[in-house]
Amino acid sequence: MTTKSRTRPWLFHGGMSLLALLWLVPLLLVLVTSLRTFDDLADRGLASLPKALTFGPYREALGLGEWRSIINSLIIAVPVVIVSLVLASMAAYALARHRIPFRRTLLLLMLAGNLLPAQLLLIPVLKLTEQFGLFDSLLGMIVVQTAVGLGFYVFVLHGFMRGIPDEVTQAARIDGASTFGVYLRIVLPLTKPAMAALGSLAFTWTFNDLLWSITLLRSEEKLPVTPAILGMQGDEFVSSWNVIAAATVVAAIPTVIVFLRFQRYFISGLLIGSAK
Amino acid sequence: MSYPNVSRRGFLAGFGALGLASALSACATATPAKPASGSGSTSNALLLKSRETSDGSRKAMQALLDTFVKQHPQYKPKLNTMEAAAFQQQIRSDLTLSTPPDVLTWFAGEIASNFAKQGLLLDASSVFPADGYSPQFAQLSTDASGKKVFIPTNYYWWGMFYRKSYFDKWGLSEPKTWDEFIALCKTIKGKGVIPIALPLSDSAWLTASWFDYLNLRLNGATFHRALLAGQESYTDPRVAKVLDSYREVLPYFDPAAKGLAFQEGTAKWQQGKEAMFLSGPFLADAMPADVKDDISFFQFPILDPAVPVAEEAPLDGFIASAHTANPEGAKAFLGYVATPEAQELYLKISGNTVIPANSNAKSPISTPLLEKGRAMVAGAADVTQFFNRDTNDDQLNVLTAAMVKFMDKPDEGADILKQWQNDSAKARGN
Repeated sequence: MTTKSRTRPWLFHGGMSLLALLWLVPLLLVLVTSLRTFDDLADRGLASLPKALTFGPYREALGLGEWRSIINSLIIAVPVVIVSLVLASMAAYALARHRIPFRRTLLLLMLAGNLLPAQLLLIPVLKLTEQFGLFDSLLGMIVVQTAVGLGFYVFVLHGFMRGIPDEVTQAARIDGASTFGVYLRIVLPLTKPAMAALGSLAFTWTFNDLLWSITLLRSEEKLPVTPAILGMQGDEFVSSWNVIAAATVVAAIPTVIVFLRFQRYFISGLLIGSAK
Repeated sequence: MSYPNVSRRGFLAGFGALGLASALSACATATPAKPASGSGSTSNALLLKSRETSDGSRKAMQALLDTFVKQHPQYKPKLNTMEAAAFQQQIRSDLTLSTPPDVLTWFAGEIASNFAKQGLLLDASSVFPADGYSPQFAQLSTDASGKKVFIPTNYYWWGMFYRKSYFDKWGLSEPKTWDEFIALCKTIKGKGVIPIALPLSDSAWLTASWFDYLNLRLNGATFHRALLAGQESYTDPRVAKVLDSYREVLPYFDPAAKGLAFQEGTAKWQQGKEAMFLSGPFLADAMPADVKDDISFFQFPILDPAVPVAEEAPLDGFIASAHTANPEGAKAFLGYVATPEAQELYLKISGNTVIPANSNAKSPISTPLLEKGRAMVAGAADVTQFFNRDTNDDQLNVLTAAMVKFMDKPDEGADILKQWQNDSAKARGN
């Protein structure tokens, strides 16, 4: 072995650890901030060593009703993920495997919808939800969030489903499967990795959304966790950074759990088709 | 084979039915909540939407509602608090909803009369007290057609805040005139301390406080109002004079100003790394208890003794939506918050350093800082609100861009003013 081949892994690991550390510093900062008192922060600044660590900010954040807002977020995010995936997979299957007239136009339309900035849709959607009686309701949030994400999910799943060999679905057809049977028993199981990856993405997006919730919701008790954290700032001009940091850490837990749970699908999703 | 035997048509029909059912149920649940909008309908619910999120302010608002309902048991009040920035973003759509919040916290000035111009505010003339409000406050509560649309509850002031112990340590005293002020800045800088805090990274709007004050001191409140209303031009030589004075203080601002968040700025000021902060008393409200007593302020220095002294005294209060389903209740509440008792109750519970707007109300927590502020505003020949309250947020954005650009390129004042006038006119045109 030459010296070069022995030092290279060290260089690699050293460099990577440094990069990883850089990534982790902001997270650590939030974590440390969430454990400090407000006076300590105000007195010595954010970039100082803490005088003492306390769970006070967490108690305060949860005391300000963070549980309720996390439950609201889940009430919105879980149905959005399920309904989006069911609808998107059906639409994608139809567009990818059936000769539907204007299927390409439809797909492009869905993609084009994603190119519009959400800000453009805020007022019209607000007025629409008001007319449908969905304004300031969690159901309205579910409907809007599903509608907003659907185009993108269909687009991704469509691409994925086109990669499934035709022969598989044709074989199922010959065995007597109906269109819906093929979808349910052949296509869905094969798209599972993409669905899992998209599902966790959809969950994160919906859970972390702020814009739609402050547009479509008004009642304090219906607010999901992101605007609720905004309301914890404490004052119009000065914010209790420690409480916000604590609330943010708590609010990140559901998304982290979802990601950890579906992590392996990401990897298998990336590898699909590579062993052809 | 045992796959669920669903035909495509059957499946679609089923799904359609599901969708229809859910849509119908949504209507069914929503309908009762929706009153026949506009006047004539009777609802006794009273929704108060507040932008004050601090614990003390929440409790104070709730106490107002609790006391109000004791006097008017027929109403069912409810408090809804929204974070200030989101509140400001939502209010435009809130006031046009078919079921708007009945009463809202808001600011006096153009920012309120603009809503009144669009017919969005309830006429509260019948409950506006004849006695208790100064003519200036009464004027600020009146829209163009003479209706009272705003009920002032409290106000604060702007000044140059400093910590007494540090000023003592450095052997400094409060300056009165601009020259004394510049000399003071020089002395402070000589001691290795940054003279003036101006954290801009998340609060560039603070530059407006400097513009307002320099313009008020040099050109007076009448010109200031005319300029903000678009009747005077930013290319006017009088505005150029404002930038000249601003250029004089630029070297004394924190060189790191643009990278500092408001909170970091207040922390540096609190630690004595920055000596002065042009701010409102909200700066003191956020400090630890032992620091609060150490805080004082001085009046923005006089530039031209011939100009009548005007101060910024932003006035806060309540408005009611014109589309409220409970106009009687909303008016009754507005009438209640105008009383000295209600304003004292709010101040006692919230603990905020603000002055009651009704002159018959006393401050329940009187501090030297508060009395100094009250005396300064009372002694002023005229009061203004604040740049964006006297115009609107679009004009504020134009100002912020110009002022920050000037800090980078203090030699391009003329070009910046030309651009400013252009952008301002454009923003007004929309």
